[in-house]
Amino acid sequence: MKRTNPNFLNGVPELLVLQLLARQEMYGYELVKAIQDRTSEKLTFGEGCIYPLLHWLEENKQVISRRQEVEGRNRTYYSATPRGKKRLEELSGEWSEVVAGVNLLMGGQHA
Amino acid sequence: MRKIESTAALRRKLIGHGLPAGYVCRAVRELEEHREDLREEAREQGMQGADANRYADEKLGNLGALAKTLCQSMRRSNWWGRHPFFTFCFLPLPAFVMGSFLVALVLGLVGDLYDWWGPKSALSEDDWVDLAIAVKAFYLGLHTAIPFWFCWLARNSFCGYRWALVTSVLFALHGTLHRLSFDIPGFKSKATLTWGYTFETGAGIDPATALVPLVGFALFFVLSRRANQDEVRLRGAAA
Repeated sequence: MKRTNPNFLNGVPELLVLQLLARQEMYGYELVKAIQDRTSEKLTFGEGCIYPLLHWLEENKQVISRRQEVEGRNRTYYSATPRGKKRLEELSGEWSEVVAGVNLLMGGQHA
Repeated sequence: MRKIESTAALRRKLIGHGLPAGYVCRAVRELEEHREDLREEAREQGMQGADANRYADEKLGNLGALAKTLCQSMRRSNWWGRHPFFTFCFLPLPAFVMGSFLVALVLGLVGDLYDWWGPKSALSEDDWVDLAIAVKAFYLGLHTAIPFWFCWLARNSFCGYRWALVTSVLFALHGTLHRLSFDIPGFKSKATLTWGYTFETGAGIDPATALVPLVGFALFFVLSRRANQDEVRLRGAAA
């Protein structure tokens, strides 16, 4: 049976965060800036919103955190775990299917 | 939604919701660090003092909404938090039945071991009275321990004091419906233990079983808040 994902749109922030943390470890502010830069500021949100998501991912063992002092400032760095990377693969696959479906419906004009 | 003006107010709100102090301190610390980064960003853009603070607060977003999202996302991260109604309204009942069964089992086995139950019981009349008191104490202990444990679970699953209160009130109501009697043996009768539910009101209700969960909640609430505030103070001093 084909699996459906009604919560998919809710999973977009999860996809973005895991995508960035799979490449390199980052702290909250850095992560928000990376999302804004790499989406040409098309995605804007209250920057504090990143922390509930990061803490939820950490509770689900998809990311891990560590404290580190850099240039006199203490920061919490996050990175994706193997479980997080596996989840990223799933989410990426689902995202590709959604994009492909929407593009078909729109007649390919947004491809 | 009521606006929260500072991270100190956010900390108070999260503690007020009954979230564990360790988590609250960590979340607030990260937000303060993020705010400091935003202030630095504002200063690089030429803003100073109050303007830089305003810029940082606007970028950080509504802290009231953030407090709500923090609570919800942490609740979603564990099974108990995702199913609070089932956990705090229904599960205490099977826990009580299992607890009672275990106590009865231990009592039966110990009694068998020391020959309490046979026709020539090793117990004197005074011993039977002591045993009846012990049974009652275990019974009240269950009425204390089970809601208290669910209060602890409410706190650690990020469900907060509201669900702790719900579970305590329901258990207090349960206490008005449940009866236990332990009759010591008479000249011809055997010792009998009666355990069960009744909807009869009046003389059979033991006020202790109804009150103990509520007193337990009050105690849990006071101790938990005090411990949380102490931990926040200690962590604040350490930082």
